[in-house]
Amino acid sequence: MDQDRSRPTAKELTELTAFLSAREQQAQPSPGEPGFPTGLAGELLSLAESTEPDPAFATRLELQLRQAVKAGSKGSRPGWWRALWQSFSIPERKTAMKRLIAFALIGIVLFALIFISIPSLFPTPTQTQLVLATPPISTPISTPLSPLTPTVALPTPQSPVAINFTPQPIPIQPPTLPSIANVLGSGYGGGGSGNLPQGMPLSLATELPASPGEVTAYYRLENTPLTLEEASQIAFQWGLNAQLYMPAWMESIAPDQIERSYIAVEGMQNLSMWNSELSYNDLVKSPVYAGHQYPQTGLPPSEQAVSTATQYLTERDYLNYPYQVDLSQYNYGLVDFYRLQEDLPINYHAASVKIDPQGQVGSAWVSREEYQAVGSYPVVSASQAWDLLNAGQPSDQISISYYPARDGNPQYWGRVYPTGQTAHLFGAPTYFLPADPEASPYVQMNNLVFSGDLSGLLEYLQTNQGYIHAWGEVQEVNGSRQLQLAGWEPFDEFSGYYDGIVRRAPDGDFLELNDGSRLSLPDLPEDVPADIPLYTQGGRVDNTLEWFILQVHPADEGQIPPDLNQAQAVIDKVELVYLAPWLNNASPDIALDPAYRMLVPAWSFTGHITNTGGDDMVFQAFVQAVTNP
Amino acid sequence: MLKLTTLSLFLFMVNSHPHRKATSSLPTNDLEMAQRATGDPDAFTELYHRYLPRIYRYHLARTGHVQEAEDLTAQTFLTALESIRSFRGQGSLSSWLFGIASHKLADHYRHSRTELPLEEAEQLHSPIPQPEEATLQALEIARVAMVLRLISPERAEALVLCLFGGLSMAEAAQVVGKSEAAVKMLVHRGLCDLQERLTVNLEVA
Repeated sequence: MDQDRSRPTAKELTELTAFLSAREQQAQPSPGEPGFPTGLAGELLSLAESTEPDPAFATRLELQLRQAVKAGSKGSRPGWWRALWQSFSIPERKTAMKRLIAFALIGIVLFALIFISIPSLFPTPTQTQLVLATPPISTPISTPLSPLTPTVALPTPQSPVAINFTPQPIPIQPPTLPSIANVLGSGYGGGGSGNLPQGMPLSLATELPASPGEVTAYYRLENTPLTLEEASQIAFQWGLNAQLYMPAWMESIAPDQIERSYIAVEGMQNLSMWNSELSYNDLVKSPVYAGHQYPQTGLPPSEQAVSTATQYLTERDYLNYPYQVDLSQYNYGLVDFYRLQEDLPINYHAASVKIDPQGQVGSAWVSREEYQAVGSYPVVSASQAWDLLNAGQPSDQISISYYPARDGNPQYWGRVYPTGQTAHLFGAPTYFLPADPEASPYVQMNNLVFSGDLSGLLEYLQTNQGYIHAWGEVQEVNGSRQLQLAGWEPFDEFSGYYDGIVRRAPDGDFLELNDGSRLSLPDLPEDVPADIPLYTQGGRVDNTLEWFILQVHPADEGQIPPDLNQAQAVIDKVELVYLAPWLNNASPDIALDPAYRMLVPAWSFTGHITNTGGDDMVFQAFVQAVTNP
Repeated sequence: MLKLTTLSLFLFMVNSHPHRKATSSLPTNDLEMAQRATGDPDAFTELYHRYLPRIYRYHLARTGHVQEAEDLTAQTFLTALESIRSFRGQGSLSSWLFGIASHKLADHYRHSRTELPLEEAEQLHSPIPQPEEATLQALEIARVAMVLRLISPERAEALVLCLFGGLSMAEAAQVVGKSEAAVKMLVHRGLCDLQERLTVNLEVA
């Protein structure tokens, strides 16, 4: 592979563009033919062309698919899934599938406990939102309510993709529920159900609770489109005297399409409003560093944090239901709330508040989902569920996941630009259109709101979404931290990442790059250890690295998968919960199915897995509590 | 065993020439192909053979692990099979299929709490031993995958969709929900980024 040069030439890029254009016309040349790209692109294309899947794997998968097609063509969904499960259970795939299933099914738990709070643990190539089209006229909903993606404060919602969707009327009778495998498999890796890691013993360290006999069946109400007027009311209720904006993609969303979004901005506070959720962030108390999260130090006592968080939400009338408080993520400052329906928790965040070390609310997220009772379901006893789980046999009524008790987030440091100094910012600006056509757009980058003459930049941002380099003086105006824009230029993002060793020196701290060159590191936080490798994000101005984020290499803090051969799981909590099927990435036929809009009662078994190496893993299993005919 | 080997060899040869196979009896209309595939095993198998190498390469280039790539490939096709009825022909079948693949990969990244050290990307375990050449190719892709993790996820995605997934820029644009021009920019910058990173990687090694 050609690694002699640090950048492809313009000719190579032109060749690649021509090649990909020719591909569209079904006329792409083969390797060695004229027109086939040279340089790195050509080598990668050749490498791709010469890479084939293992023939045995191809054969196995083909057989699985054929079986599944045959089962599916008979019109029986359970049989369909059974066929899929059976195909998964062939011995040589078993270990892989167990691992796959275990980690794929972490989804429901992790999404609620970790991923919601830590949105960018891992890079996400695309984030697609389901857009729900016109709501049904017959759906009696007085307020816009919806089950959609829970996210933590995201100042820039991603553009959704419109999907034709015709919501169904609320069922009169409780529908037959999908299996746990179908519920948790939706959007989480196909099959969904799981089995215990092979040979792992399970034991109970708690008493099994009594079964209520039956539980109320709840339908998750759908939402209506968020209007500008309603967004304004929500912002007012939140306590913001705010200017309203909207993401640029809203220009192409019809008023009657469900998924809509507005952003209220007052100073450094912003409230992103969706039909189904609200996301608040204060960029001073909780600055955003590309989604990086790391355990905080100096947090107030958790009781104080709970009190603050509860009061904050209650004052805004967003905690007007029974709930449980979860402090499992409080090392990140997060106080999480789970809603109770008739004393059973919904295994899905209802609200989350992030407390900063000063005890203030830095960000918050609330779901606006509401439920309607449509009857009841008989439930099996905890003892029956335990027997099924303990049998260790594959079942579409069981879902098991496990994950490290300790997060492996790399430590990072984010830069705070001092007031009165010139700052050089490198990154992708947040750009919102004003809801009022007479008002100005909102531009913010690296936790500074842009002010001054933005005309040229705004014109650029209308058609470009790339990185820029902007500079100017940092000012504080009425509590708003601003960059008085002095100049800007487009910026190649690839120039904004540097790897090196941080060095402390009497004449100034610097980053020593791999080629031995040095870039000075201004405002290096005192607690950054010397002589460690750092991954930095920022840009270079002469011999200075105007960094925005310093990050420890993930590999330095990464976790090695534990050996589960000698492991055992101890269950210390058993409770009946409601699961909320994840509909965001579901195919329309599933999203249309009222059964998938039901909360699904399940027995939750939570505990820890330990092995001889001392690894600590969280164990989570759900066993279907409703026996369908 | 002999039959399996022969069949595998045959499939390998077929898969090695997807374009040749595509010229036989495959429908040119994506919607028609999808509709046929809803209940006809042969039709879905046609679709499978057409896209298997591309989907597999896409996942391999993103994960660097043969086994993970196989698992994700299986998930992609199983989900495609599950939801093939939802394909309305509004975009290309390629884009629809790679959209599923992309979601599977995103889910995989989101929920993989036990990230393997990058060095283990070289320990490419597959149930069946691979010929040396294939192993070398997999190692090379593993290295590319490793470096792809160091660049902007959007750029990595666009680059892999076009170079390993075999998508045009227009098709990749449908998958990532951006304009064709934006994808072009992402591919160009991603390539620059990759080249730079590969250079650094080589120097470090």
